[in-house]
Amino acid sequence: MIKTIEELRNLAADYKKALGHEKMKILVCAGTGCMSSGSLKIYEALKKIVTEKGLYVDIDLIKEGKKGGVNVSPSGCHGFCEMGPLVRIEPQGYLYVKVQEEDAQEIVENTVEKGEVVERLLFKNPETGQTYETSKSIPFYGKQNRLVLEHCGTINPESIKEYIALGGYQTLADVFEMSPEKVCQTILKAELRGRGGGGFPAGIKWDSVRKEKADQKYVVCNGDEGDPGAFMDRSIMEGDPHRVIEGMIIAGYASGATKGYIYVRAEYPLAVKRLKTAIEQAREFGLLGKNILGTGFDFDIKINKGAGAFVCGEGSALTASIEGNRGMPRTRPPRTVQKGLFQKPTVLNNVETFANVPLIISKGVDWYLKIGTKGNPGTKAFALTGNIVNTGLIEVPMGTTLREVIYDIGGGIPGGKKLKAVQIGGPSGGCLTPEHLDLPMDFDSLKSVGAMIGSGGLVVMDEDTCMVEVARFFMDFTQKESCGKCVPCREGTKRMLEILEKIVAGEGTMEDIETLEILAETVKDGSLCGLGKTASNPVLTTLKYFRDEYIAHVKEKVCPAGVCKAFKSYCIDPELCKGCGKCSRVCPNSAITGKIKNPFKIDKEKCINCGACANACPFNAVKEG
Amino acid sequence: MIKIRVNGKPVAIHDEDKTLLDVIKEIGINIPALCYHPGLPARGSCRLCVVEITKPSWNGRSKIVTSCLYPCEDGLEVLTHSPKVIKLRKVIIKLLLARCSDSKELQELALQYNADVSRFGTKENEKCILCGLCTRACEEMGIEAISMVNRGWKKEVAPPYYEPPENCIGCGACAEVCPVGAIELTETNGIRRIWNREFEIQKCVECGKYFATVAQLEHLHNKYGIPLKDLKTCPECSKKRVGTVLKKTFFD
Repeated sequence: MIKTIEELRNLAADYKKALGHEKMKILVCAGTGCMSSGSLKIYEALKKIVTEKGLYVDIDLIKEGKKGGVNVSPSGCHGFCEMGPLVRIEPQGYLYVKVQEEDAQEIVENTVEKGEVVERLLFKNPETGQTYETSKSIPFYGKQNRLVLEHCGTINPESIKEYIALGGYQTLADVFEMSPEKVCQTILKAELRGRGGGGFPAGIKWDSVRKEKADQKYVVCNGDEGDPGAFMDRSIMEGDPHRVIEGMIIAGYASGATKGYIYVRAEYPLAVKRLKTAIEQAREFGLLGKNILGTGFDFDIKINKGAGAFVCGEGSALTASIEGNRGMPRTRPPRTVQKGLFQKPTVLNNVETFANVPLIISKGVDWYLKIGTKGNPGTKAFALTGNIVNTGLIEVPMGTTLREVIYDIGGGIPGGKKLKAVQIGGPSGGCLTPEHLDLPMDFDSLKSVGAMIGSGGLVVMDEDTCMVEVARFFMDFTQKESCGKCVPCREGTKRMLEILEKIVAGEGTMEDIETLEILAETVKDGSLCGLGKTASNPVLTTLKYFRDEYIAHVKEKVCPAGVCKAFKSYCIDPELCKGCGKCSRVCPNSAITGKIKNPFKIDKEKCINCGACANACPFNAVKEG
Repeated sequence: MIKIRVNGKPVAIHDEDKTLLDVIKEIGINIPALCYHPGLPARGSCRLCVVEITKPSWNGRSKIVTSCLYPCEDGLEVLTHSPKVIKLRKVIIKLLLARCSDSKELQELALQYNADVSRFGTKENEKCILCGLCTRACEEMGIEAISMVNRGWKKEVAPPYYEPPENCIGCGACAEVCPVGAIELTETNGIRRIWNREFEIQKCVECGKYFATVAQLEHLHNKYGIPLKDLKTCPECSKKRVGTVLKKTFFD
């Protein structure tokens, strides 16, 4: 239990001394992605071999005067998920990709004992054949600016001591020497905008709560990351939970709140586990609880697990869910800062926003304002998925262009295909096109083209993607996730989905497109909460940028990308067919008949256009069209 | 005192707790509000009472808000029938009518707003518009025998597990507040049927009229401790009795 600010500073200095004393540190990625590829087994194997060789050293045990040894530690997500499981060797900075359990021996013998690189485990650019020794030299990392994610992949997320050794909780110590008003002012001046999607200035929220008079105030952290394809917040909670907690304590001090809640999806069991561990450690160290560091300030945090409703990511539905009610949004006013959780003034920010806070206060407002663009300072984490070479978690300064993200960091589109669109912000966001490649990505620029940053999911789509189908996919998602409270969202999304289903089935009319547009506007303007207000974005942006595709589906009855099954038909070329019967055997609807060694035939009435026959035919005799 | 303008006309409001809808109704402007009932907390879910609001300081920007929940703020300019509002209301009526095509109330509204529903493909023959007045009424009664179940398109009003609700007292408040008559309540020979349950109705001991379910009277007895025998008189006869007593005491 640390009792004073001074004690914490001294302790940090001690830990810092100990931290640099090991000869080598092996960090095995223990993010959800790498773990599901067996990274924990690699960790165990490495630890076992290193221990057997008498080299293992626990960071806790290193004291003054005793140097050397090798530490093996699990870490948070390194971000380069496409190439997982990842193993990083510090201080050399070597990055081994696609590591298997069997590689552990070689890593220890060559790298640990001889100091040599295991060439075959290095990242190799598939196009140029160039290999990269260190992570920094890989363009995927080189072009990023990992500030919020600085500890993700470099520290053990389950060790508060490592966090403290790297300067963690020192900001909190500094904050306690400032007045709450000054802390709010700092966040205001840094122009920190909410990373959850809306981009509302966090400082305004904090200061509003500070000014409210109430017997109880709350700080709520929104970790209910529900967008398909987004995993930024999960990675932060898994990789650097203490940073989120520190941010929340600072918010509590600044706003006068003494209780905090972290609302995490139950589908993120690892994040829940790491946060729980971190909260317990913080309590043990006296950084949470009563009279923190002898300042008289009380603050504690509780974790609430969400049951997986997308709408619970919406502020008022989230607070309702914590209260034990149905997760349904309510109309504002009153705003959350006035009457939020349990009808009390509440600071509600998302995980990434809180994770920015210690950074801003420790490095200063002027430093922070230099990153990003005017009015949109700082960095943003994005989850890069879809048709892209380097799937993964990235962090770039606000205002970085889509081109830099997709081509420089993401490595472009696989298979030499052309970029067609990028869906940004999940089901609430919109589609961007190649013409937006040089658009700086920040809150305001994206809003100006009908998209939004959302929480930061970036789904890249190549030329083989049907945009009407994409709109249908997202509408299907929002329609299912609508809470059903208000008419436009409940009835409107259902009707929009019906129309989109009609269009992809080849039964759409031009009138349908018009109705779709009217409905989209109504749902946008008339819905109660953010889910409904943004549900139309995928439809509106695809109609704006890919209207010709909608028209092709309706008028010419073709799907230009060749995706929609309704427009496909298959026939067998009797010249090429050798009569092997493979197609007939795989057909799920028994639509293909024929005699062996004679050409087979497809019954068009029965055919469901699945394409299984085309895939099965060894002679390419099944033709589309 | 708060001063606002509704459709250009200045209105002075003395009660600060009033919502925009209260004021709009008071000055005689008629706007639809299907999920609103003066005796129940507002919910803002039908979205028909939407109005467009702006303030001179908003630099020409305006907002669409539900008037049943929006407080009266000084200086607000409210438009109850702006083109944007009419357009929105019209589509919402269409959406509701597509769901409940047989509803007379909605057909009337559609006529008023010239809303043609033909474009929305399949018509459903639902009765309930999911305004939630019934569940709110039941909650206010302190019973909560029915609630909203499921979400989105599959949402519906139902008792737990779709079984006849054990705690229902058959008071009929849900059916009473329903703006579209979607809750079936029948009464024959002193028996009320609602939510697949049957309730015995109490006959007034004085006039012999059926007036409330026995379960409802028992609920009142349990909640407020009123003796059961005093509850067996219908409200009219009770009033008469009190009147007679008063008359005897003060005038005779």
